[in-house]
Amino acid sequence: MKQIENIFRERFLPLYPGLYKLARVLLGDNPEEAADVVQDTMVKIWNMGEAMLDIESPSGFAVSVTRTTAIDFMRRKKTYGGDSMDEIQSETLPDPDTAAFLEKMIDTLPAAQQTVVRLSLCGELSNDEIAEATGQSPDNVRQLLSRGRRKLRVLYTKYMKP
Amino acid sequence: MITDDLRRLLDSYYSGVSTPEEEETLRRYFSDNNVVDSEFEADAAIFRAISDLGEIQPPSGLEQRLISATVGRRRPFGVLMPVIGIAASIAVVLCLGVFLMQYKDADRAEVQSVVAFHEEGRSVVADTVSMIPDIPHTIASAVVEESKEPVSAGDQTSEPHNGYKEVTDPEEAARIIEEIFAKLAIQMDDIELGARKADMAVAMARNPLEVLEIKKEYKKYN
Repeated sequence: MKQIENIFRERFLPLYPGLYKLARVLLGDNPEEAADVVQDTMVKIWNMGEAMLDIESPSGFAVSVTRTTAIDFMRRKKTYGGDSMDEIQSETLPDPDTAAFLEKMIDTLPAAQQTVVRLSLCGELSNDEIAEATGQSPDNVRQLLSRGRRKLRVLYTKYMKP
Repeated sequence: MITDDLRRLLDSYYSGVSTPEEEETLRRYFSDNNVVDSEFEADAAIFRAISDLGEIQPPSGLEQRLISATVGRRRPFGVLMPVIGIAASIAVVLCLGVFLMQYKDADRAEVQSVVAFHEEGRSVVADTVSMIPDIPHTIASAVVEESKEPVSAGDQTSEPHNGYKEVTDPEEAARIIEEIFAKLAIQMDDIELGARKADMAVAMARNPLEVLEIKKEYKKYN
C-alpha cells in the first residue's frame, strides 16, 4: 500500500499543472471544470492500485486519461454548440492577445469545430491523434480544423480592432 | 523569417494540415516579433493568444484537493482488512464444524429412526390389511405400497398369507376390525410423527443456521 502511494505521489501527482493546462485548453475559459477533470483523472489513476506499477509512461498515460475525461465533459455540456455573435457584441471583450479572447472566439464556433480546434491548441497532437480522440476520420479533422481556424481569423479581424 | 515562408506556414495552418512543429514555429515567431505587417495582425493576435494559453497556472489549493481525493481517502481499516477477512472465514468454518458435529450425533440418529419408522409402518400396514377379508384387490394393493406379493383378497380357499384366516362370527369380525382400526390409528400417529421428524431433518439440512429454531418448532408437536 505504501509503495503504491509513493509511486502515485512521485510519478503522477506532480503532473497536475500540465494536465490542468490541457484541461483548460480543451474546456475553454472554465477553471472549475478544468479542476474537476484533473481531479477525475487523478482519482482514476489512484484507483488503479497496483496496476500503476505497470505504466511505462506516466505522463503519456495521464495526458490520455485527461483528454478522454475532458472530451466526455465537452460532450455533456448543454451549451456546447457555440455562443451567439450578438452576445459577444454586447459584452466587453478582453485583450485580443490573451487566452481569454481566444476562448471567447472559439466558443462561437460550431460544436464539432470547437472540439478539434481546442485539441489542436494543446500543441502535442497530430491530426491523426485528434481523429482517434474524437472518432472522426483524419480528413474530417482536417476540414473541421480548416473551417474553424479560418472562421477564427475572420472573428479576430472583426473584433480585435477598436 | 522570410515573408513567403510565413505565408506558406500560415496557409498550411489555415488549411488544417500544419504539423505541431510548424505551429510551434509560428507561435515563437509572433511572440518574438511585437511589430508585424498589417497583413499579419490577426494571425499575430491568434498565436500570441495561443502562447498565453501556455501561461495558464493551476488554481491554488488544487494539489491539496487532489491529495484529499486520492491518497487522503484511505479505505477503512487499511491493512487490517485482510486480517478481518481471514478471521471471519475461520469463524464461519468453526460454526459450520460445530453444527456438523451436532448433526452427526443427534440428528442423524433421528433421521435414521424416521426411516425405520416408515419401513416398520409399511410392514405393519401390510400385515394389517392382509388380515381383512374380502378387501378389494385394488385397495389392498394401494395400501400395501411395497408388497411385491399382491394380496388375494376374497379368496377364502387360498393358503393363509401373513396370518390371514377366515372369520364367520360377526362379533369376532367386529372385534378384529376394531383392533385393526386401533392399530391403524396408532400407526397413523406414528407415521405422522415419523413424517414430522423427516420434515424436521430436511429443514435442518436446508437451514443449518436455524437448527435451534426448527427443533423448538418440532417440540410443539411432540
